[in-house]
Amino acid sequence: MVCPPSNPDPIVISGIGLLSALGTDRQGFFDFLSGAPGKRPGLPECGEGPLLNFLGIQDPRLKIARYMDPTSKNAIVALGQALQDADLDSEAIQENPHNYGILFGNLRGPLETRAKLYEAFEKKNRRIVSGTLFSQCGYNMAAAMSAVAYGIKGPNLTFTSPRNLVIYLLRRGTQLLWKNCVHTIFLGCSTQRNTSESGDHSQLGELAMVLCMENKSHALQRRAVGYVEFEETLCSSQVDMGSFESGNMYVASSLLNDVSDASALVKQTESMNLHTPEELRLDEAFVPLIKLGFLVNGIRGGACSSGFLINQVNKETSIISLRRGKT
Amino acid sequence: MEQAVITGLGCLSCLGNSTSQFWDCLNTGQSGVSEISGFHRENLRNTKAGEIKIPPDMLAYAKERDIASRISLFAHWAIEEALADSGLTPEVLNTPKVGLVLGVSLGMSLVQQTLDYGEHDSIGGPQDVLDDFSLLIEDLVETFSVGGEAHVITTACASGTNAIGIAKDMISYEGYDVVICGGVDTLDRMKYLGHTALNTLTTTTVKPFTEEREGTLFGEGAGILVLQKKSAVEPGAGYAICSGTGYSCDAQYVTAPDETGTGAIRVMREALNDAGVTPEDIGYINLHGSGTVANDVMECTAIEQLFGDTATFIPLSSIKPAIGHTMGAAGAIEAVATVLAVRHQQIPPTCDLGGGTSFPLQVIRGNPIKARVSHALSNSFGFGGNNGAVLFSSVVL
Repeated sequence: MVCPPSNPDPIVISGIGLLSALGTDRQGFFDFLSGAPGKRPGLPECGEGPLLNFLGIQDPRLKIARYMDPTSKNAIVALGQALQDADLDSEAIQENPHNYGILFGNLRGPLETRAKLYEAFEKKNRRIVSGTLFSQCGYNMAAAMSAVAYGIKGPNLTFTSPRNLVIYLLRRGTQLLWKNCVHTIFLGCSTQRNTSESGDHSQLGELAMVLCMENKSHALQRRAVGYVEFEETLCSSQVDMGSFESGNMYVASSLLNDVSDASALVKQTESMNLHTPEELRLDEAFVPLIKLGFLVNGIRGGACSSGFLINQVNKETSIISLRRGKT
Repeated sequence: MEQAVITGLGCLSCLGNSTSQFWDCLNTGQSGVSEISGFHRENLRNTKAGEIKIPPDMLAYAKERDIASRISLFAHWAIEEALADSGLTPEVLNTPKVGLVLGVSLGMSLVQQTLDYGEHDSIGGPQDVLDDFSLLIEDLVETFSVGGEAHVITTACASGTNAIGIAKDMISYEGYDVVICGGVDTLDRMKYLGHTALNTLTTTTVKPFTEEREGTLFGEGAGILVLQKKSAVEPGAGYAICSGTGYSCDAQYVTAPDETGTGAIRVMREALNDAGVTPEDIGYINLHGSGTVANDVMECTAIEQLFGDTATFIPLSSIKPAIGHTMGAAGAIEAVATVLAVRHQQIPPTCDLGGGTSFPLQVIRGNPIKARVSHALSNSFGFGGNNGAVLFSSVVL
């Protein structure tokens, strides 16, 4: 459901922060995803231990608390990258901290912390638990610790949903921006390794990705460059793809399978076959966010001027359109 | 912009299995807090809680619907009451214009959930609860035929309030017709052990907004509100309008609020601005009022600063002594109490459990009072610095 207020301030995406087993190089990550099978660079040799240790990343902000779950630390790093990419500095946040918010999606909570909680509990003969670990067990901690790290005092919300989580996140972000209670939202996720007995415990499941979404008026006011305009529209399930421009766009083609005329459209366009990168063990729920980031990155990098992300959401077709921003 | 009217309420707590029971018990100053019976009480700083002793009819309800966990039972029960109250049928709900937003504090519980705690108060470890909320939400969506967006918000003890705020904004800004919203949460031994370790529990009783306060006690339950767009409701119908909402984050400490009250002031002010009302218009504030040393002084500071000279004239109360701090459900159950205060023009009292020197504000204790309440605020503040406020207004303004 998308009903903008009259004369809504358009929404733009002005920065991307990303942390994965492939490092902090955003372009490298998207190149890896878009490479044809067999032509991709090799995956890193990953083993036990947190991703940040493996990457050798250190940041004073990672020491803001006595203990933090790896998902919180990864989120802090990714948010910092999004800030940098959007050309926003921490002084701007300090001047008006309530005008910035954080929205994260989270499916399973801080698993490593919960595992440690139980380990410590067992060691104490199931009599006492660690207050420090217990206080970091909530699904909201990645978003909360990110807020502490950067002094972000606006809305701080964590959502979970079995379906369409990324779409709902984007809608909540849009809602807050339309409401004008904030002008900038950092929206994303921070996923964890599979620490179950059957999992391989490697860093390949760890990913943190943060988009910087803001009101266009604010982006213009601070002279942001390289932003991408974002809009969601809804259609009945039968979408006439012929109504969209067919030139010079990237399309996440795997999402078009159910849409009529998609194959014809894809043939006409320069498209990248961005399929689910199972080798990275990424959470299926967050793949739309990665695809969105891929499109935004491509548009900002000049590879194309626009793109679409299409999803079936509750008997409707959601079309997210992205266009290179005009100043 | 479309307004959101509350047309149905559902409430489950240790004070009763229905909204009417809850309201009646609240207004007779009763407390449902009792000695914990569902899990081992060893090594707990306090052995009392707002525990729900599931009666036979609820067990039968659960069995009929194949419900196997407390959190699912509580959510189903309260949603069923709220929808029956609103008169909405499954046919009406089965469209993309109907949503469901629930608040739960920690996310999935730290212990395996069953209907009775029995021997399940501790398990081998989080491996058994690796999954997310998928099952709970999918189950509710299927049971109640919700055709639109359904998700859970996990912002610690502000979850219920934030869920209501999101739901209200979904109607105002996104074209939803109906959003079922609220919060649900359950007790377990791990939570009590955790709060024992953090010294947030009182060793006696909960005494909000008194000099003698020294901690809180926890409870469980569910609070559900059915929000409908005002243009689809008969003029003057419904309990109240959800007219304003505010969100903020202290961005300071994990387990304590920002003592300056900046975040609390922000959410209350945002809710006022959102509703287009002034501090002088507020006829009641339902406090977060957890009774912890840190929260109450912060919340008092925030109210004094925001409301200025009018602060001492506004009736305040906290229902946490009556039902415990119900975590993710707290904001929602307290919203139910606030909505009913607006509806009945009556302030529910803070359950008086042993006196104490009250803060110099008008905290209503012991007995309810009649008051003119055109607009009322409900606050919630949680771990991680998450804050929320919702404002309810009379339908007959």
